[in-house]
Amino acid sequence: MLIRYFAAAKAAAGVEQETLEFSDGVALTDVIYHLIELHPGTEVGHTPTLAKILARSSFLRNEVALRDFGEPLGPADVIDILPPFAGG
Amino acid sequence: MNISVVVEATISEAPLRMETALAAVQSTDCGAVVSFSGVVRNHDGGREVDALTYIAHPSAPEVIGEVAAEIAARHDGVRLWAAHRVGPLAIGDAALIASAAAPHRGRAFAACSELVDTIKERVPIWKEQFFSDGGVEWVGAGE
Repeated sequence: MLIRYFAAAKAAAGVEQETLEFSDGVALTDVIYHLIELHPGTEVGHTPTLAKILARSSFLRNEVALRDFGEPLGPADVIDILPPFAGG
Repeated sequence: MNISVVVEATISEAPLRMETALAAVQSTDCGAVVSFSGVVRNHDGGREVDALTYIAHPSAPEVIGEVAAEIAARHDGVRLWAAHRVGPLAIGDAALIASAAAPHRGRAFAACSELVDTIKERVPIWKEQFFSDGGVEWVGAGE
C-alpha cells in the first residue's frame, strides 16, 4: 500500500511517501496506528507530531474521500493523508 | 431563471490579477460585481511573517471547479471567477481572488462570499509560513 503524506504530515513523517505491507483487507484505523508507531517523532518547532496531525486529517483512497475507517483496503491502494486545509 | 456560469476556477502558479477576474466576469446583463482578494500579510498570531508557500494536492484543480459549480447552481444568473495561487508568495501578493457578477448586488455579494468560504473549506491547499525569527509552520496543522 502506498502512503502519500502532504504538507504538515510530510514534515512530521519525514518522508513524502512510503510503501508499506499490510494484510489484505486491513482497515484505515489499523493503518493509522501503524503509521503512528512508525513515526513517533517529537514536536519540532511548530510541527506537531504525526499522531496529532493524523487525528485532524482527512484521507483519500485512490484520490476519492475515504470516510469509513473500517472499510477493507488492499495492497494496490494509494492512501493520501491530508492535514486540515489552509487555503485563502 | 437565468443560467449561472463558472467563467474560470483554477489553481495558478502565476501571479493573480484582480483586473483579469473583473474583465472575465463582466457582462452587459450584470449590474453588480463583487470581488475578494486574499492577500499575504506580514504577521500571524503576533509573529512577523516574511513569506509564504502554498502547495496544492493534485486534486485541487478539480475540487475548485466542483466548488465553483456548486455555488453557481445555488444562485440565479451569476458569473463566477476564482483562482488560488500556489508556490512561493511575497507579502502583499494575492493568494486567492474570487469574483462574482450578477444582475443585482445581493446575489453578487452572497455568491462571492460563499465561493470564498467554500474554497477555504474544501480545496486541498496548504500554507507554509516562514517567520522573521526563523520559525516555519504549516498553518492550521496543530491546533
